[in-house]
Order: sequence, then C-alpha cells, then structure tokens
Amino acid sequence: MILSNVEILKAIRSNRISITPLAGDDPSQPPFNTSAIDLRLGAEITVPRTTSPVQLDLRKPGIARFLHANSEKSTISERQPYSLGKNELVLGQTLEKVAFPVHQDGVCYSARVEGKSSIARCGILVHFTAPTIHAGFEGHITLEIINLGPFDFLLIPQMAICQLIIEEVKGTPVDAPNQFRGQTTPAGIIQ
Amino acid sequence: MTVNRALVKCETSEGMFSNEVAVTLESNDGRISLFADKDLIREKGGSSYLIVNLISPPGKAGLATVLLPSESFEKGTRWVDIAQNLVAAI
Repeated sequence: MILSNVEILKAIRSNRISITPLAGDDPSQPPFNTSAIDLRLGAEITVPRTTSPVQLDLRKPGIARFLHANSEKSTISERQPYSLGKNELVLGQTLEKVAFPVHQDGVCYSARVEGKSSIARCGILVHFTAPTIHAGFEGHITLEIINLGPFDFLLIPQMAICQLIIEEVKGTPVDAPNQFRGQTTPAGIIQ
Repeated sequence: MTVNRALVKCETSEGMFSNEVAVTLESNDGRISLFADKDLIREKGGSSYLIVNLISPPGKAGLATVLLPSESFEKGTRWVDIAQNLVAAI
C-alpha cells in the first residue's frame, strides 16, 4: 500500500522511517506530493573514469574498491553546477539521508525511487533498474543519472531530483528466534 | 522494536562519495564488497566493523546470518553467513 503525503509525515514523526533533513513539514506543500515525497540532489557527483578498456567481472572480489578507483568525485554548487552531456552517466546522491529500519513489532516500510516528470521531459533518467529501497536500508540514496535527451543538462545541488514512493511492507521481513529478541550481547558473539 | 544489530569485522577504504565507504568483508561464501554509509562503521580495538541486522546468532556450524545494509557486488544478496569470530555485539 502506497503511503499518502499525510501518512508519510506520520511515519516520519513516529520514527518508523527517517528522512533528514526534511525540506518541509506541511504535507500540502513541497517536498510532499499526494503520494510521494521529493528528494533533492546532494552536492557531490561521481564521474566514472573511462581511460582504459575494462571488463567488469562481478565474480572477482573487490568490486567496490575498483569502482572507487575508477571514478572521480566532483563537488557542485549553485554557481558551478555540473553540465551533464548527452549520453553521459554520472552518479549522484540525494541530499537527504533516509532510514527504513526493520521493525520486529510492527509495520516496516520500503520505498521506490522514481523520476520526476519535469526532469524526464528533458530526457534525463535519474535512476535505472534499481529503484527499490529495501526495509533495513540506511543512507543517502545513490542516483544513476544519465542524459538521453538532445541537450546538455545542468545538475544543480538541492534541485528536486527524484521522488520517493513509500510503501508498507506486509508482514515482518525478519522472523528472529524468540530467545534472541531484546538481547544486546548474545551468547556466542565476541565482545 | 527494531531487530538486533551486530558488528561484522571488515576492511574499509574510500567510497565513491564522501559520506560512504567501500567495505570488504569475509563471508562464509568468500570475500564480498559493498558500499555503506560512514555512520554504519564502528572502530573497535583497532579494527573496523560494519553495523548489520543480526538475523540469527551463531549456530552449531559457528555461523551467524546477517542482513547487510546493501547487497554485495560479488554475490548480489544482502543475506550472508559470517563466521562467529568476525561478529561482535554493538
């Protein structure tokens, strides 16, 4: 079930989910839409380097380090936005940090990142193939931004870049053993 | 009440963004890597640990099942089994 703007705010206020910093707390105003909340672009862009031919083989360990070593961070500002060229891919992040904790005793939430129609009209994808924010996720959402349009496009920090559709997860995702619930120093775990 | 959390011993290096780290850890199924928010890393006794959801404590085989904050590149899953000696209480 998709949460309305009012239910999103309730979930935030009751600490079932977290979105910080929240750009506003009036559900009838931005960043809220009737059934979503807009998130803003953070000030850091990561540009993949393509200096030499590389074949990614996910079976080999150390892919995360490899991706870092083959990319370049760039800080953008209102005065110095990033000009995303045609067919160019960069990674961005949401300014907001989100958390969707796994709750044992009640409702959990997950979410989907979706584009915004205004940006889509310009030919910009802000994510592709991986829109799901699973229960248990905590962090800034990474955006795979690609320009499929005919014009260069300026990426400006704090622009409303995507929207988050928040859904209720039916049932508890994790059924931990009863004897373990509530313990903070479980037997068998090193201290 | 959220599920129990635990620490898994890991190695960290710089991530693709300033607020994240590249994490490498040893699972029962081999070395895996992922990106995680910096706030999910704890330093303890000179080692780095990743905060995870603890799904089941170590059983007879000495393995704990944990839920990673994001899926690993190498295995494409968030559920992994970790040797008991690599898991610590928060």
